[in-house]
Amino acid sequence: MTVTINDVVVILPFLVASGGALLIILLDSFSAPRTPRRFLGGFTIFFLAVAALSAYIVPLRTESAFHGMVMMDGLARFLSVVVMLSAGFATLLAMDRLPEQGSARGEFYALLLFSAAGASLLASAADLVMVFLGLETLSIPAYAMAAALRRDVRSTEAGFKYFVLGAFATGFFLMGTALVYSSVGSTALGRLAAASASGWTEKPLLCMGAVMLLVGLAFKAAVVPFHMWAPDVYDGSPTPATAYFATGIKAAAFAALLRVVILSLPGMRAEEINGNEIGWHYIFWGLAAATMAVSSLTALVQKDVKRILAYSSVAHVGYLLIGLLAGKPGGAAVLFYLLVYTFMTVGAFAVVAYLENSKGGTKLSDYAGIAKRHPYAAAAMAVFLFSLAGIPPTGGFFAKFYLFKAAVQGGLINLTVLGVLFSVVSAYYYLRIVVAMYMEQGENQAVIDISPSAAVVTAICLCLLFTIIIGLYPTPYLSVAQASASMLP
Amino acid sequence: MWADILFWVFAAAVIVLALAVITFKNPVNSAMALVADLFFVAALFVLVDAHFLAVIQILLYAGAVMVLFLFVIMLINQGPDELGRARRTFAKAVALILLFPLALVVLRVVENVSKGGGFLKVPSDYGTIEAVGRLVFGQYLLPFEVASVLLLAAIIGAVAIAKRRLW
Repeated sequence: MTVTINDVVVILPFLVASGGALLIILLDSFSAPRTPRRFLGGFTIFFLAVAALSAYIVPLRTESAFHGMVMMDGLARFLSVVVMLSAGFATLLAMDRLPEQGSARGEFYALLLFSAAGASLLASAADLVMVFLGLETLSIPAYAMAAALRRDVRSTEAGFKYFVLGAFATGFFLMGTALVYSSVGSTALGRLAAASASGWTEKPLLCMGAVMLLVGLAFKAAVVPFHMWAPDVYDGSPTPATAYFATGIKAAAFAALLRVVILSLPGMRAEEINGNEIGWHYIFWGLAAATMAVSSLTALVQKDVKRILAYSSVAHVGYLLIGLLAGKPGGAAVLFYLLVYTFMTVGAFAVVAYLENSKGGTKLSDYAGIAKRHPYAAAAMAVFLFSLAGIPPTGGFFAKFYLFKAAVQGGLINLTVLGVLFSVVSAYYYLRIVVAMYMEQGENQAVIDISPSAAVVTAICLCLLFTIIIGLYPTPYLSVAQASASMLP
Repeated sequence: MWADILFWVFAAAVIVLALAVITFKNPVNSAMALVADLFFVAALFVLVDAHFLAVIQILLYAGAVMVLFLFVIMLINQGPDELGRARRTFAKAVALILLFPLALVVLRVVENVSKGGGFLKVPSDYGTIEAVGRLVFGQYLLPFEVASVLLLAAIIGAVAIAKRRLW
């Protein structure tokens, strides 16, 4: 019954991030009204850095703490750091841009820290109850962050949509937890793995529960056909929040997918019934193919850069799903992909944040001829888009390369061919933005009178640096990802 | 003996009131029927010695949640013409089709139970206040504490987007 210090250090990243959120709320309420809240962003980055650092200095502990609720393994450590990184970049984007757009309050930073705390808890969960609480602590602040621009109708709409659909998906997840519990008699992920290892076809409640868990998590990761909210939410939310949703929340959702679906329900992969092979495998196959196809084809006709990037982030979920299917090398490839994806996607959204102003300026027509007025921003955007498309020598190329390599090793030839095909399709819509920036004549004046922001420029430079460094020398990052994925089956 | 008779009385009341919830035309009547329904579900919990659940059921569901329901119904305040028009034949058909797999599962469970299997055996103090308290402050200590962080984050988020003036 007693809690020891060894238990507490396992949740150290969570404690640091949520403690930081409390401190920021206090600092915010005791600062003079109408003073700039920029310094709170600095505190936020400090706490995120300490939380990421604490995830790395805490000793690895694969047997679970707090009566089997949480553990700190390589997966938890790696994805906690990715989430903190993403939240840190989102803070950099928010420091100058949010006050300009009419949301100058400190709550945004506190919500961001709460959300990151929930994500790190989710990454280290060892029990379905903890997965649920992590998901909610991650999502509920995100709903409020989406609606942070209170005078903007689209931001309010984004928050409302995200909230209603997110609550619905949470209902699925809870229902699945209840069904799994009624079949297995425990919510511990380890017990779940043992129960699903064999004879799952004889447990209808376990199967129904597992599918409902998958639906709940697929919603959070924006897998087609549960992606409908993503373009509207990503488009309507303030850009710093969008950058966090597209990277941090996605990384956390994949942590949950890895923990629950791949590690805890491994036996459900394939089993023969009456000569027909059935199992997870086929559901995932369909989800991955549908996600890549629908998002890539819809992105072709979008006219807003933020929406194109939103559909692109859904497309990347499709590639990541291939990695989930590919077993042990696939797990390492997924982690590496999530890291690189964070840098290039945050980078692209950072350029969007740099070029937008209170009047908007995220339309594709606004980007026409922008290379003449903002040559550096345009060049950075081009690098991020090339990386997202997977063109060497950028990090995105190696991320896709290792992912597809793992898929081929795992025998997923058809999915790999589909993945490569839709990468080619994706190159078209990424290049549309590049063509608009460099080859079209700009008429729109909206993006001329932007105010420079040191914080946003810092974020762009850091993302650019890592996207290129990983593209030139991926080995150290890949080996960290491989070490982190060592416990995957 | 008495417990069996009470079970059948309460169970029948639960079903009748649940039907009343979906057949009343006036939403206020439906909500009141749901309040009564939840009371009888609480009574069922008492019969299986789940005292904590019974109390929480009345406090949270019959009390807090249903009051919220009534508030929303009164705020929206739809007149009889808005409520009377929609027949929703299609929605009803879809609901019936979706009911089918659920009915299959329920039948399967009932079949299992009648054979003496299916449900997990629980200790005799399962669901009593003492047992729940031991679980909440023992095995489920961390989830219990994290839930408080979650609620705090939700309150901050709600205030941040809904408060009229922040400065």
